[in-house]
Formats: sequence, C-alpha cells, structure tokens
Amino acid sequence: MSSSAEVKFKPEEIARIDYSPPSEHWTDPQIDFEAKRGNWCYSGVHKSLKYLDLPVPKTKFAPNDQDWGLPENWKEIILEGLRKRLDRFRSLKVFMDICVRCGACADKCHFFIGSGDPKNMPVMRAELLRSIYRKEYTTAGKIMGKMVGARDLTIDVLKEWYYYFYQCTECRRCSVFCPYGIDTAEITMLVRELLAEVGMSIDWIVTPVANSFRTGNHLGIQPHGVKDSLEFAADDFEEITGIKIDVPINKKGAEVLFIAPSADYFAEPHYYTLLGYFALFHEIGLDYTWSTYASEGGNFGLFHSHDMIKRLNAKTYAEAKRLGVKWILGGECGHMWRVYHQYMSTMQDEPSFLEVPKSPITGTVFDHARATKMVHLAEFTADLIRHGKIKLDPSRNDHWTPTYHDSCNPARAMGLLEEPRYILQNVCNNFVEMPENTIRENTFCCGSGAGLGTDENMEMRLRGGMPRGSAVRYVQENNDANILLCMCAIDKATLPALCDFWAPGVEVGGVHEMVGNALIMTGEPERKTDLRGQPLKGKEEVENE
Amino acid sequence: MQIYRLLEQKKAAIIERWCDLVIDTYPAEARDFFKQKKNRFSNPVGAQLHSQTAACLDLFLAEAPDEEAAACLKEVIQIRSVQEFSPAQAVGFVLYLKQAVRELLAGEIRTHALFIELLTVESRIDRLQLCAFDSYSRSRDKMHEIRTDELRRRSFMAMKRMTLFEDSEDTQEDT
Amino acid sequence: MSLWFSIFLLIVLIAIPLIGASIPGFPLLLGVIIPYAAIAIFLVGFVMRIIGWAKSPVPFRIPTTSGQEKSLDWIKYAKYDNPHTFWGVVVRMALEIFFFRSLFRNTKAELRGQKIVYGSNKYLWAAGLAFHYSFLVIFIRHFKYFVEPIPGFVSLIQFFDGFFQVGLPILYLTDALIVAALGFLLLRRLLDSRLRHLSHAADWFPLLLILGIASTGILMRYFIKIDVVSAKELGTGLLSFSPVVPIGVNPLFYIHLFLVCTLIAMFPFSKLMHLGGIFLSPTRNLANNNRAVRHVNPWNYDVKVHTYEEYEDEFRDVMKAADMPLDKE
Repeated sequence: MSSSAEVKFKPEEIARIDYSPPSEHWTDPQIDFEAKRGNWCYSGVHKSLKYLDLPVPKTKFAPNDQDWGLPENWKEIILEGLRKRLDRFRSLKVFMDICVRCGACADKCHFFIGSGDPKNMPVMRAELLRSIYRKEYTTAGKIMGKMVGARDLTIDVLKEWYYYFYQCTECRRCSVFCPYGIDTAEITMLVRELLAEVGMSIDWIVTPVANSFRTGNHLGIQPHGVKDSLEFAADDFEEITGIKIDVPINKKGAEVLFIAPSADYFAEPHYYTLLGYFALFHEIGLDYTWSTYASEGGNFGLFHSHDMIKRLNAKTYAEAKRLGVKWILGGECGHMWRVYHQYMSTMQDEPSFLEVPKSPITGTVFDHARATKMVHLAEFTADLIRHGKIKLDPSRNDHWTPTYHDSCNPARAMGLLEEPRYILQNVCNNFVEMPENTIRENTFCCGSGAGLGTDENMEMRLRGGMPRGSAVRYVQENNDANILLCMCAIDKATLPALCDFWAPGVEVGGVHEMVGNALIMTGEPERKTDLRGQPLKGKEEVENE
Repeated sequence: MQIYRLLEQKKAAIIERWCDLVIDTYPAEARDFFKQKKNRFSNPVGAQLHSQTAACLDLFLAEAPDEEAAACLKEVIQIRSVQEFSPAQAVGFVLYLKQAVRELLAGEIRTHALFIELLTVESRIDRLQLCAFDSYSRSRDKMHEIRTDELRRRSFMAMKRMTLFEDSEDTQEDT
Repeated sequence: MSLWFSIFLLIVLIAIPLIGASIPGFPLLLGVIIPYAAIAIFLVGFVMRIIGWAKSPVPFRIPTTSGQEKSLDWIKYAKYDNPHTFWGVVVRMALEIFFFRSLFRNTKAELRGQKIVYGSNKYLWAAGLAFHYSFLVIFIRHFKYFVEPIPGFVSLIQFFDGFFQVGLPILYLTDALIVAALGFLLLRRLLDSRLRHLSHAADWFPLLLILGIASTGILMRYFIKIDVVSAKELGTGLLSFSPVVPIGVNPLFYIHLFLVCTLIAMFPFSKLMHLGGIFLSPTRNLANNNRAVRHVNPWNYDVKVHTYEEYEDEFRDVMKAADMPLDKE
C-alpha cells in the first residue's frame, strides 16, 4: 500500500496552502465594520448630542450600517475644519510636516503590539490624516498623489478615521520615543473634533459628557443621589473602622474643595479609595467639602474636543468661587489631571479669588501650583508622610503584595512618578515594581482610556491591554504580586478586566486605599479587616471564630 | 515509533516553521515584529507564540496526553481570541503543525514509508486542535463574563444599595 | 513602487548633467545659474516654512513629560527630561538636537533564561547620529572649496577626520561613516516589513539622493581625480558673487553639484525640514510648569457652560428634599 501511495502522495504539495491575508496598500481606506465587531464603539445617541448642541447625524446609525447620515456638505466641513485647526494649532501644522517616518514609534503603541494591525503604528495612524493634508495643502501631494502618500478625502476615509482614531487611547507613549516629539494624542484629539463636526462620535464619550454637563458627574446621578452615596459610604466606613465621620457636601466657607472622579463613589474598586480619602481627611481634620455641581473630575470632554474640555472644566473654578474655598485638591484620576495640569489655567480666567495652596497640617506651600491653585492628593499625602503628620502601620497591608501602574496622563503629561511610590513605600511592606520599560514614562496604557472603556469593543481593549497584562503577569509569577495599584478612575474601571484575562488572581486598587488601610486613626478600635472587609494578615482566625 | 525520533531531530526547525506559518496569519507589515522572540514585554505576542509552541511540541513528542500538550497553547489561543480573527482563523493554527511536519519530513516519510506513522501523528494533531477549540471557547466565555462583571462593578453602589434594601425587607418579613 | 520611482528620478537627475556637461552653455547653467537658483529657493522656502509654522500659535502648553515633575522640594525632579525652567528646556532641546535623546530611549527588555536583561535598541540612534554628524563634518570640510585661505577650524576638522592616515589620498572617516550609515538606514527601510510599509517616495528619494551625492564625492576624491583648482575657482567665485565658469571639468563634478543643488532646492519642501521643525515642536520646547505659570491662548474664546444657577434651578426640589444647602430657597 505504501509503495503505490508513495508515487502520488507528495506531502509538500498538499501542504502548500496560502494562509496569509491579502496585503492591500495602506491608502485603501475600506473597513468592513460588520466583520470587525469588537473593535469599534457605538455611535453617540442623538439625545446626548442634542443636549450639548452638537451636530446630529441625519439618521441614527451604527458603525456597521452603510449610511452614516452625514450632512450634504460634509467634505467642506471637514476641510474647513482642518484648515481652521492648522491655523490655530502649531502642534498640528508641525506634526503634519516633520515626520521622517523613522519608525521609532512603530512598536511603542500597545494596540500595535497587541494586534499587529499596521495602521495601529502611531506613524500610520497620523498618516491617515497626513495623507489628506498632503492632498489638500501641499503641491507635491496634489501632483504626485499616492507616490508621496497623498489621497483623496472620501466617506470611507472618514469611516477609517472613526475606526482608528477611536482605537487610540491618547496615552502619549509614542511621543516619548519620537525624536521630534510628535504626539499622536494631539492628532487624535483634533481628528475626533473634525469627526464630531459631521456628527460622528461615540456614545461612551458624548453621553458621559452630556451627563457631566447636566448633573456634574458622568453617570448622570442627581445631587441627592450623590449625597446619598457619600453618606452611605460613610456609614460603611464606620462599620469597617468603628469611626464615625462627617461628609461635608456643598459646604460654603470650607478651606479646600475636593474633586475626585465620580466613579470613586459609584464603582468598584474605586469605592475603597473613597474610603481611603475619608480616613485621611478625617484623621488630619481637613476643613474640606465635596461638590455635587462639580462632582466629576474625570473630564470626558478631553476625549471629545477642546471646546468640550472647557465647557466641563469651567465648573471647577466656578464652584470654588461660589463656595468660597481657598484652594482645590484633586483625587486619583488620570485624564482629569491632564486637564487640570495642562489645560485648566490656559482655558479659564485667572482664579484670583483663590490662594496659593498651603497644607493646613504641615504648612507646606505648594508653590508649583501657584497659578492653578490645585494640588494632587498624592502630592498632599506625600508631604504629610514626609513631615510625620500621620501614623501608619504598613503591616496592615501585609496581605497585599502591591505593584504600581503609572497611569498615562499623570506620567507623560505631568510627571507624577515619585509621590505615589513614596506613599506606597510608607504604607506597604511588600511593594514591587514591574519591569523597567513598562513603568514611569514608559508605562503601558490600560488600553481603555480616552473614552474607549466601554463593553462593545472588549476584544480591542483586551489585546490593547496585553502589554500591561503581561508585565503584571510577570510580577505575579515572580514576586507573588496580588494587587495592581493605580491612580486613575479609568484604570480602576478597566484594569480588573485586563487582570482577569491576562493575570487572573490580581486585584486592582488605589493608592489611597492602601493609605486608608495603614492609617492609624485616633480612638480607633483594633482593625480586623481592610477597607474591603477582608481580614488582615494574622487576623484571619479571629474572623472565623 | 520511528517518526518521533525523526521529529525530535528536526524539532527546532519544525517549531520555527510552525511559528512562521502562524505569523503569516498576521498582516504582512507586522510579521518581522512578531518574529522577534525575546521581548516578552515589548512584544508579548511573538514571545508567547515561540515559547508556547516549543513547550507544546516538547510534550507532544514525549507522547504526553494530548490535553496536556494542548494546554501549553492556552495563552496563544487566548491572545488570538481577542485579535481580529474569525474563530476558525483563531484556532486553526494548530493544524499548521501538520503542514510543518509534512514539509520538513517529506523526504524521510517517503524513504522510510512512514505514512501510517504520519497518520497517527496527524490524528494526534487533530486532537490538539479539538482541545484548542475548547480553550478558545473558554477564553471567549471568559471575555463575556468580564463584560458583565465590568457592568456590575460600574454600578457597584446601586447594587450595594439594592442588596441592602432586599436585606432590610427580609429582616422586616422575619420580624 | 515608490522606491522604483525614486530610483528612476535619481537616474534622470544624474543623466541631465552627464549629457549636458558637453553641451556649450550648459556648464554656465549647471555651475552658476542652478546653484544660485537652488540657494535662493532654499533661503526663501526655508524662511517661508518657518514663518508658516510660527504663524500658528501654540494655544496650550503640552510638553511630553519623560521624568519626575518639579513638585515638592525634597523630591528630586528630572531637570532635563521634564524641565520646569527655560534653561531646563534649552538643555532638553540641546540633548534632543545634538544627541537625539528621544531616539536613545529606544529600549527593550529581553528574557535570557529566567532573568530579564535590559538592552537597548540603539542601532537607529547610532546610525542616525553617525549620518547627521558625518554630514555636518563633510559640509564643513567643503568650506575649503569656497574660501581662501582655508579657515583654521576647517583644517582642524579635516585633520581629525583623516586622523587614521589610512590610504592615499587619506581616507576621511566621515566618508566611510556616511555611506555605512546611509546604507543601514536604507536597508532598514527595505528589510523591515513595518518600515517598508510606511515608506513612500518622500522617504526613499532623499536617502538615495544623499547617497548619490556621497558616492560621487567619494569617486572624485579617491578614484577619478578631477581638476580641483577649477572646482575651487567656481566655489570661491560663487561665494564672492563673481562666478567663473570652469572649462573641461569632469562631468562627475557636475553630477555631484547638480545633485547637491537638487537637495538644497527640495529641502524646504520635504521631510528634511525636520531640521527647522524640531525647534518648534510644542511637546519638547515648553517647560512643564503649567500649574505655576499661566500659559495664554491667543484665541481663547467663550463656550457655553452649565452654570450653578441653572443646575440648582433644575434640581432645587430634590436638593431641598435631601436637605442640601441651596443658594436660592
């Protein structure tokens, strides 16, 4: 049998199958949205768009529909919008012109690393816009077209923009490695502005924006709901720690206005960080207040447009003025701090009604915040610890082996790297770092920032978060890390998904949750559990009795 | 069986070929990037692929139970389950091992008339493929589970209030 | 295809002076008119581009921070990777311009056995640096063809460039370096699938053009000797605005000159403008002192906001019911 088969059977021929997908030239913008489910986000609902007076598409569309209800003159709107932005933003003009396509950024994007999709290379993402810029604004592009990377603006190009610019988390990692500092976040922000002008936006951005605009927080919870949540949390806090606390809300004449991302009082694991804030503020006797009107630090406007940043951000100073506080303290959030650090003082009038922030406990003057009058809670807490103003028992965190994820914006749009580490070294005994090129300014994004933290695009988020996930996995395997700490509400919302998938068994928490665990409070009964209600190390048996 | 000895000799080449075939399922532009093996942090896809296919083939050639050999591929499958592939494309890469074996052992198979042995090997690869399908399915289930968990975490406070409400109703009924 | 197009373009550019050199009147065109025109285009184009960029304001201060910020006094901050002051920015820019600081970051971690080893992927950085510095040195060396007597620093650079005294005429280190670096940069684009994918004619052509310039230069120095005296006469003539058209110079010289003129003329309209653009990049040339010093946006306009009054009007009843403080009862 074998000899006759030998003649006809040529294994190498049978084996010759071409599995590779056809490679198209990159200037072809066609995207099959139906086949690419899990990679895009739903479009903005009309109700939210109307509430914000934004352009509304003619039809209600999902990205896999053919007709996106664009206005008749969509092309004029886009080109006029692009021209206007080139005149307004030197960044855009320079970034359009000076890229040499050296490729240094190519493998720095977490979405490229996770997917291998060439248009996820930062340079290519920018080329999607540059190709149109060349065609419309450069002589070479007009004459030589495709040869110099120029192409016509079509509806398919717009859809391609929608697909890829909502696949960028504005994390700025590429910008760190670019020899000219070209920042894809800036390009993404401006393209998203252009898209919004013809009614193309995603719902996980416009609806939170509309909610924040109306109610102050992105979930649209009304003032009494916010109050109820905070008071409920205070009761919960008392149950865990045995200490009764006050939660001042909309209190006029307080010294400090405290603003945190609203997820801190609605979502888990943010909630435990909230309890940490409670512990700290109560223990040091801070004269502060929450605000329901300005109850959202996490500015979703940043993911929409510069106008929208300003529209939401205006509430911060307005509320500080109305309440008559002296300065503002900001909680654990990522994009919130990009806005407070890099945009607020430019966008708003000078807050002459505020004073240069000064810690009432240590007397430290936060001179580096003398213009915005706004201090990051990590800076404030690090200063407290440095001056020995709070008593800490790091062994209360011994059941945790924490590692720390630098959130993109505090890392690359601010530089808040040492404060959280200083705090963690003082409140935990087992802190471990992830590999060097995955932290600090090289930190890998959670893959869900900039409005992408929704559920219809879960596949994309998980693969975009894989580089972060594999670094977490590494410290889990080698150092028994069991909690990933961070100072960002989006991280706290989305890293649990990432850990569940790539490093199951690793929890997610906040820096001030650890502070709250370790903080020895005046008159407290013996602490048996942490803020999550889990037994402390060595107290497990007690719990079981 | 003789074929295992031959496979053992060509193990490195088979792994290399197998990985290359898998990498060919990615866009052409990304292939050179994924072919780098060592950068576990800056290139987790390529690194996992190389280390896990090697581990799988080790067990396979040691004639370990197919489930164990297939378990090595779990993470490659997990990665592919969230990349832009259809289910068939995502798990079908296990079958490329057949192709790698046929290509690299073509001469030996003919000279030593090892077709029957080849069939045994291929049947085992088929079983690996079935196990891989299980892994894929579990990974997708996990993803959907994560989706719902996330929604739950997002409305944590509402849930907490609701349970509290139910609790107090219960106690009221009790008393 | 864009590579073939670039090669074709280069061949045409070589053919023009090669054929033209023997036609009467052409040396005047190649040796005098085109160089002047190229330099004029360069100067006007360069200035226009810079003005074009500078005309757009910098509405926001958006530095990319690559290190610890200046905050509390006792925390050491990254003075140059995350500058807080003007001088910090100057140093950051200098590091960027002279040492390609950001490219130097190109790092990778490798797993060797069970241990991670931090290596770095510095080939691109090294090749980029080698290319740019070689180009600079060669540029300066060429001063000797334009001025008499030769300035001291030119002779000094020339001396160090030929320090190893290899070959006759002495081999300049930079001649070897520039070809090697260009070769690497070209091969990198050709061999890496990612780069092949993203390169177009605007990337291939400048590389090939500079390679063409370097090779014709090297040919003239080491292999096909040309009449250097006539060449220098042309150079000094051009610079003193009393050009002399040399007769009987090897066509190779005209090819070299014509390619240089092409490079000069196309410079302002190509990606080579990164030379000017890097100075204007807002993520690098601004201090990260946003919270301390207010940055002003010249076109800052008012937007529609949701005031507290509107908010309280909408929610007054529920706030009252929840016993929350109100501005208006």
